[in-house]
Order: sequence, then C-alpha cells, then structure tokens
Amino acid sequence: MADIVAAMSSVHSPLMMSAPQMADEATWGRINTGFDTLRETFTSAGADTIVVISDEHFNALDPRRYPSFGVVTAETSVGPVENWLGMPCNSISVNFEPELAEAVLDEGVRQGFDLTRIGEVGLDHGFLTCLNFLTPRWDMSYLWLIQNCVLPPLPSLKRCYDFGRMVGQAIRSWDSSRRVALLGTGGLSHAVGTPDMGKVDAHFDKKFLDLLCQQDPAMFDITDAEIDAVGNGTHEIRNWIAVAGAVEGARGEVVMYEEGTMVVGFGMMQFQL
Amino acid sequence: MSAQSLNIMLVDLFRSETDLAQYQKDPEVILANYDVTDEERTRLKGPDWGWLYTHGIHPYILVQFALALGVEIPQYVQQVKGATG
Repeated sequence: MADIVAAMSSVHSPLMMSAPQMADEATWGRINTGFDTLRETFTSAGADTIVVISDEHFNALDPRRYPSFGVVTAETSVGPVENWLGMPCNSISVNFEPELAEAVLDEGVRQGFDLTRIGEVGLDHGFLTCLNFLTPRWDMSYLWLIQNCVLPPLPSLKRCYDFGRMVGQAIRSWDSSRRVALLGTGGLSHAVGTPDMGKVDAHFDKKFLDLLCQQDPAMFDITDAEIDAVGNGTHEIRNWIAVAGAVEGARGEVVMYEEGTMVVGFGMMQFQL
Repeated sequence: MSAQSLNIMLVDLFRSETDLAQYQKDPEVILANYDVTDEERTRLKGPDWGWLYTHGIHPYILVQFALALGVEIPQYVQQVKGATG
C-alpha cells in the first residue's frame, strides 16, 4: 500500500513569482531556507508523489461552478493560467496521478463526501507557486485536491479536517508502492482584493499555528467571522487543516513565520511523521 | 447586468489572452458582446476599481482582473480604500 511520508503546508502568495522585489534579500534568504527545509523533508523521506490541497482562484473554476471539494482527475495539465505570474502562460506541464485521484473519489464517496470530478484544469498560483520552489524541475507525480476557500458558503473547518482524514485513508489504502507527500497551500492571514490588502494579523497566525501543530480541536472553533476579520484570504487555512486531518495524531512544527511579507502572514510548517 | 454577470464577464475576460489583448486595445469591441449598462461601461473603462468593488465584484476576481491589465497593487488598493472610506 502507498504511504504518507511527509505532510506540510506553506503560504502561496503569487507575489513570490510576480513581484519578488517586494521582499528584501534577507527575507528571501529566510523564505528560501524554509523551502529548503520542506524539500529536504520530503526528499529524504523518498517521496515520489505530491498531493497538493489548495483552493483555486477563479482561473479554471468560476462563480458558475465551484464545488466544496474537487478532485483533479486529469493525466496532465499546464499552467500558469495567469498572465501576470512572472512566467509565460502554460509554460509548465505536470504529470498528475489519475489512479490516486480515483482512489480518493472512491473513498470519499464511500465516506459520504459528495466530491466533484474535475478533468483537465489550468494550473493557477494556488497549485503552482510553492511547487515552483520545491520541485522546480516538475519531476514528481502530482495530485490536486481543491477545497472551496473563496466562494461562500464555505465548508466548515471541521469538515475540511475530515476531508483530509479521508484523503489520508484513501492514500494509505491505495494499492501502490508510492511514497506520498502532502502539501497544503494558502493563507495565512491576508486580504485579497479588499481595502485591507496588505494587512496581516500575526497574533491570529501564531494562535492558529499553535493549535494546528498540536492538532488541538479548538482550531475548529475559529469562526468564519473571526477569519473574515483578519482578511478574506485567511479562509485558505482550510487547506492546512485538511493536511492535519490526513496525518491525524501527528504533531507539527513551524518552519518559518514572517509577519507581513508579500502581503500575507508568511508561514510554513510541517508535521513530524 | 447583475453583479454575478459582471463577475462572469471579468473571469471570461482575464482567462482569454486574445480577448484580454483586444480589451486593452479597444474595450468597446469586447463590451459590445455583453449587456453592460452605460454606467458599468464607464466604470469598467475608467477603470474605477472602487466602484466595481462596492458594486458586488468578487474581490478575488477584481484584483486578478486588475493584475491581468498590468495594474500595480498599491494603485488598486488606494482606489478601493477610497471608495470604502
């Protein structure tokens, strides 16, 4: 059976790619050290497949059709779809793992998750940004699981944790020798497109990271109103929570945190497996 | 148009390199395909990010449309702040 050998999360601020000058050299040093740490974790664990849990930002999905939970079943996809991400559109091609996608669909439906099958999908910064630093040769197999963090009503934090737990079970029961790393992306506190864009809340971020690393169920008590108060983009913590669910019981550690870099509370963490 | 229709129009626009290039060259050619009101046409052509923000455009969609047009984030945020006090 397949094994989960690494589980981690990171912010996916697209400005890392589109406007790298927004951070100074010292800050970039800390960002790169953080990505180096995450890469070392999954590389030393022998990972050959990366499951990304992220929302999508209306580049492939849109207000007409946006599932609470989606599974990308394509064999390959290209990106970025954004013309402003600092690299030519559709210049990256990735190999997906449709067999694992089907395993997640099967397990999800069996457990009562009404999942949506998503075929070939343009890759946006939610999927691409962190991987562009972590696997710049795009030489792994990937799976993209999409959670709705952008178009209310959103799935609850607890539901996202349970979704992640189901994903973990699906991976571990997948008849394969693959070694899988989980990567949640998005957050932490930040605002997207609102008058508060640029503001973050380090207090919120540190409280959330503490709860997450301890797998403390109190994280489910954070309300949508509390999240909205620290920025609409903060709802992407759902992707970090799903990763926690996939490795239920494992404790985490903060790899790095910078307040207010690239318009987000800039953090990375990983679980100890 | 409803806010939902405007949202969909902007999404369709920033996804299409061809339509986006045409819009930047002559927005009327693109806007003629949609049932936009005179005010919406004026605000879009401005562009008046503050008005669009306060009239129901999803902030994720609006800022990405601005980025697709090459607008700098500080300029965008300044307008949205100005419209919301």
